[in-house]
Amino acid sequence: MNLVLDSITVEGFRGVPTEQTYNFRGKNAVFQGPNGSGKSTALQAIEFLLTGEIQALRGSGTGGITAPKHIPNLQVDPKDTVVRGTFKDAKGTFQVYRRFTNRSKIVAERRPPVFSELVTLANSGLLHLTREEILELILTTPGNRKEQIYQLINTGQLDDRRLRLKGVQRKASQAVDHASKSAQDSLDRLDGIAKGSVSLAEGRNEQTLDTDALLTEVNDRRKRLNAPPLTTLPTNQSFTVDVDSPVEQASHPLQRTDICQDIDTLQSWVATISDHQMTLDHTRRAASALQADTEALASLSELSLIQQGRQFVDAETTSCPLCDSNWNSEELSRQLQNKTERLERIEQRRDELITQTNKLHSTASTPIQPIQRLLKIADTVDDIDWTPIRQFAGVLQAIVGQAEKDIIGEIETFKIERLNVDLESFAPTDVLNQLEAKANQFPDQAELQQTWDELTTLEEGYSTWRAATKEIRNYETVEREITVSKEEYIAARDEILGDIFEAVSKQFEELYSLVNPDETSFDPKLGQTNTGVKFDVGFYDEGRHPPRALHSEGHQDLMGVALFLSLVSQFSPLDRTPVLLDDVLMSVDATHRKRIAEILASELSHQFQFIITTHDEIWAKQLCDANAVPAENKIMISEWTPSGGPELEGNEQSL
Amino acid sequence: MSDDIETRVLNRFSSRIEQSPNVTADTHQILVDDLQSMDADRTELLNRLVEQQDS
Repeated sequence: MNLVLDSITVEGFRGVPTEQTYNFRGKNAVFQGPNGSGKSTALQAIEFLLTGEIQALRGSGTGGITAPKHIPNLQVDPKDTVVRGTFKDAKGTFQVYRRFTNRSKIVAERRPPVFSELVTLANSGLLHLTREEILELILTTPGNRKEQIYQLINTGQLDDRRLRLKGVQRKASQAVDHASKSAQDSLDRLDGIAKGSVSLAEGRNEQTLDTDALLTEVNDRRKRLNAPPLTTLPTNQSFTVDVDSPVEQASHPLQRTDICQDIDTLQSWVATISDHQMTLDHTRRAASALQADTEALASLSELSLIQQGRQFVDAETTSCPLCDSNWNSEELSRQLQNKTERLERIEQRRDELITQTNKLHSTASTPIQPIQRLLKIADTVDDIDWTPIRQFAGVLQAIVGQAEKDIIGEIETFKIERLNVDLESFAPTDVLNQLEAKANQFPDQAELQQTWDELTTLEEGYSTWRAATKEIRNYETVEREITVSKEEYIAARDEILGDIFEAVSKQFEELYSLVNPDETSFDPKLGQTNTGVKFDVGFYDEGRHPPRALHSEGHQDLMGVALFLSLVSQFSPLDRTPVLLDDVLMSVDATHRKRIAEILASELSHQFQFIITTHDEIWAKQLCDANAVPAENKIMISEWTPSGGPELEGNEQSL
Repeated sequence: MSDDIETRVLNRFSSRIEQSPNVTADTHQILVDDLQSMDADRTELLNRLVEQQDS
């Protein structure tokens, strides 16, 4: 694949305000002129033509420099900024150009594959070598060298892929930790219920659950819930399979709290039945006594009249104020006093009977409602003989019925015999005891619920533990596989890059030794490390050292050029690749430069088309004398002015 | 030019893990496909690797 640069024409670009053409004629060329005369601008124009960028205007130390401000010439309209080039391949010449205003696009008369390869090389940086880039190749740290070389050889996403595997490895490790914590949390919950009996060990270990112990705990709860035991821990069904829920199990009426309270209330009443009997008896006797003296009760109505009349009977009155009949005041007062005392005793007995009747009503009423509620469940508790309860209820209701009557008003017809009851003989003590015993056979609903909750929590904890341990296994497997894969990827990368670096190192040594044939044990080694690209060289049998350790600045410059050319040679598919060397050998002494000029002419010009800049007339002359550069391709720039740009000596180039 | 290095490294990587007893064939295929396309995020890749453990 042959391609050479014939010429470039620059207009409105950097320090070149008006159109200027540089002819290379497909051969090597050298720009020679004083500092600031515009030599580097010519090389930047070629770089801009092929890439649309100028590397020197980017990167560190270029703050404040912008392409719109600093690529177009300051005196021209950026629309007029354009670089044109003429290339020659096997089919002849063709024109290309790039305008600043559409700088992402190169316009080509035709675009042979070899030209596209050149553009690719240029975009990777394998076109234009400056002193700065030599520093980044030779005198830098392995990490920075790696950045520079990776860019030059365009490793693409090699590092991204390594970092991707590393990132996934880290995520897998984090997932293992997360699942381990979840497994441990579920174990802690299980242990909390099983009182520490199911956890075998703690830590990043999936086999920490004693499943036999857990099965024992599960069956203990199932037994309390009246369910058959499980033979193994189920994985596809619930721990509560075949277990009636607490609500279902607490459906018997004797498990109802209100029913249990009623039984208790009645038992308490029966336990103090002698007190209730006394109340009944007392009431009966009081009523009986009053009933026996109904006349006295009737005369109670006279009490008020007598109490009023007594105020008219005193020593000074000797006759009745109503009928004027004479009376004996003293005797009359005595009679009225006796009568009043008698009636007041009758009144007291009457009040006592009322009080006693009220007390009896209250006492006899107390068991009636609990009994009525109990009788409502009689149909569902049919293994109990409820007859005593019903009889007892009838007796109490009869007593209450009597106590509710107007006993004073109806004392003459009051049926006292109805209060003649032996309560003890009706007390349903046995039935109440039977009901209590039966209720006690049933478990408490709250206990059932707690047992049920424990069983479901054991199930949930076991389910979580199983899911978490499965995650641990999966993520650990992935973590192991990714770890191996990452190591294999690094090994693959190092093998491939190792081959490349070995080839580059070999070519580098050949190039360097052409100039310094007497330097023994040079043996340069370029190699991939974990963090960068290491580069060291031998020094006269004095061991291996970094290039800057023992070699002179001139030797370091030469190493930079040799390494760059080796990389271009390794990656360029072109038979002859254009290379721009911008003032890169100025630390090399004249003797070595003469040797370099000879080598450029004899050994390298068939591989590279060199476009070189220098301010050194001797170096330019050496290049021409050695036939590295034809005399007509020595482009002399005498000075630079803002309005005219670079002024070419003899002006033959702009023809 | 860049494709050469990347492709060569990927091919070498594929060949190495194919021979590794510690990496399954499914994982090998998922990783090679993923590193070629680089179109999924890392969590998605991890999920894909875990899912194939169950299958």
